[in-house]
Amino acid sequence: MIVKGEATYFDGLTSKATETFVSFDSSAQTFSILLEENTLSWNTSLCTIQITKGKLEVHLNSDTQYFESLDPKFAEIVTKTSPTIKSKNVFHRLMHAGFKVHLSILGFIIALSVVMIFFVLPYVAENSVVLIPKSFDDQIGEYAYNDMILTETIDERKSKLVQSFADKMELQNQKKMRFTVVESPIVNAFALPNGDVVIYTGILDQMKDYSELAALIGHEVSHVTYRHSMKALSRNLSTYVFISAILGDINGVITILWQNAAQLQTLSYSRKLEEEADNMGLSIIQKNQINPRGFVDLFETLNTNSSLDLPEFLSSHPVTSSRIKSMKKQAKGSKFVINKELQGLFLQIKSQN
Amino acid sequence: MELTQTEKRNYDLKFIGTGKEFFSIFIVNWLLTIVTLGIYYPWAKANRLEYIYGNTEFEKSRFKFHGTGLEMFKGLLIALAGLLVIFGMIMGLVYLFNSIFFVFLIYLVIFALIPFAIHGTLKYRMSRTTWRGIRFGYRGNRVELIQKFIGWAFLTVITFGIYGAWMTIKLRTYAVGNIKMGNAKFNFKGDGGTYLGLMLGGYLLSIITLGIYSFWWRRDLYAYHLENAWLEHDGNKINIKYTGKGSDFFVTDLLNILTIIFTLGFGTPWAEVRLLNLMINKIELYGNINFDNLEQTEQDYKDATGEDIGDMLNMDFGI
Repeated sequence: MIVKGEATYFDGLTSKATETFVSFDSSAQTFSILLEENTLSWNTSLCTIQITKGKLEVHLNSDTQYFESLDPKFAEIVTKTSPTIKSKNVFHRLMHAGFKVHLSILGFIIALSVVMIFFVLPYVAENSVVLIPKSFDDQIGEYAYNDMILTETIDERKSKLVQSFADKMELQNQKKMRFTVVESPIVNAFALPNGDVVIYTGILDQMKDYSELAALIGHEVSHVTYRHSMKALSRNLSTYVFISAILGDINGVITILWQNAAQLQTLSYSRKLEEEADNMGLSIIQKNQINPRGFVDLFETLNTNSSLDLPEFLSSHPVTSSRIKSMKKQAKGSKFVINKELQGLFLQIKSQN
Repeated sequence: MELTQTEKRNYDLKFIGTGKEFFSIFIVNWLLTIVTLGIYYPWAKANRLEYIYGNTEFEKSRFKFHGTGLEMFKGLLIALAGLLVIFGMIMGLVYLFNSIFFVFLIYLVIFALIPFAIHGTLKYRMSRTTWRGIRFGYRGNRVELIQKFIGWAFLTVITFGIYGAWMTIKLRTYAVGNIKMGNAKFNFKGDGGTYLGLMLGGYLLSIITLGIYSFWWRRDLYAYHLENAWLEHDGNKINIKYTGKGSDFFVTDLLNILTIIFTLGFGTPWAEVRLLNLMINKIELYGNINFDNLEQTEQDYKDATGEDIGDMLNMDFGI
């Protein structure tokens, strides 16, 4: 089929527009541009053909000559019968797929990202922690310990007492545990991946029975044994890298939005780790034949002292009634004896005030 | 040469792209960039530029960007290799003399790369852009620009930044003054003192008005750069006037921020098109150049190394 259309030709030497006719032979895939002195013949394989907003432009490759046509019929037949326009490259083929497909691609990438961020990455990151050498836990823990301890006042006597208290317990620990009591009204304690546990005097002051201290120690030791810090770190890092890689080039706003969404996920993960530490802590307590009621009391202490009443999904340390309830249920029926030795040490810790 | 003194008139310049189309470019680019683990970036950039240039219409003819992803990819490889060698040498010096002192060389290298990137970007972009088949071109000299740049930067440092206003104007004069559109030539004539006044006044007023004036300030700066430039051909001229108002900048920014937030960022293409409309469609061109008479004078130049270095330094020349 041969079609003919009005066109404007530019010779690539001057900007002069030449109004002319171009015919297109669809079987030979050739354009014939009628000029005063001669007729140019361009095969489509030598051209870049594009149609934007009703204007067909045919550029001769590696050259500045081209013609354009606003003739809709001509443009339609050229685009329909010229294979080069469709098979150019992946980008053009995808562009031709249309707005709906592009919206679907967006939906698909978002869905895939959600699956990656909320399901795949956490799983992979958590399980790849075994690949991180344990010496890394020591390094990072020591670094964090030295960094924070600089500005704190250590209670040496209580630290020693808590240390011997813990040493008397069967902790099922793989790392050597070192306990430090820091003077502070904060009602809390935390464990570092190298086996350092920092306990604030604030929480010791609130305790009424040695079983509470045993529960606290059991809980913190479990964090270290299960490498919880490393798991959380690995998860956060992988999510951060993934989000930056996928969204980094798009827009700052969107990256921040996604990272906040992922942050909520991280908090729920922290809760899972706390639960895990509770469970293992309880089994340590039971093994040491200590009253598991200590856990319940410890939680109630923490609960009354939490200044903020955050909804559960926003809090990482939810000493909520749900945690207390589950602990009560699990503690039911476990046997315990009074451990005079631990009780004595506990009284010494309390007596110093 | 025959002088064609024609009646003065207004010329058409408009951006005809749409947010929807730009969104498609954005999504397809994004998909291909993810799938190729980022390697597609130069191609994505070429696609974007091709769309923007191809949807800018001057006197009913559209611009065309001929640059390709492959050219920019090659440029990127060269730029990366070069930087790797330079930084390797600097780290070698640090190691050899066991002195952190040499790290300052890194800053010096980055600084020296700025004029290098300006030159390369202009040269590449201009030569790869055509209008009615006529190439743009940049005739500046790399060594000359680097020398001038170092001199200006030195003066800026010893005057505690005050000379920066003159530096901007001189750089602009040099860069714009070397841009050709076939045998038509761009020019720029500005005054450092006026520019300093614009900068200081705008800054102070923006502070006093708690930032509100910044939109009018931005308009003034943009208009200053445009209105002091002109195009010359065969003794004829085109002057530029910018009719956008500070309030237009204010409204555009506000709408754009809302668009981006409420679409969780995916409305960015619409925001960009809105900004391009403001920047391009409010330009008024008035003069008597006959645009049928431009001649092809500029060479093809396919080395995108400077362009890629500019990209790495996060420089955007807005061309």
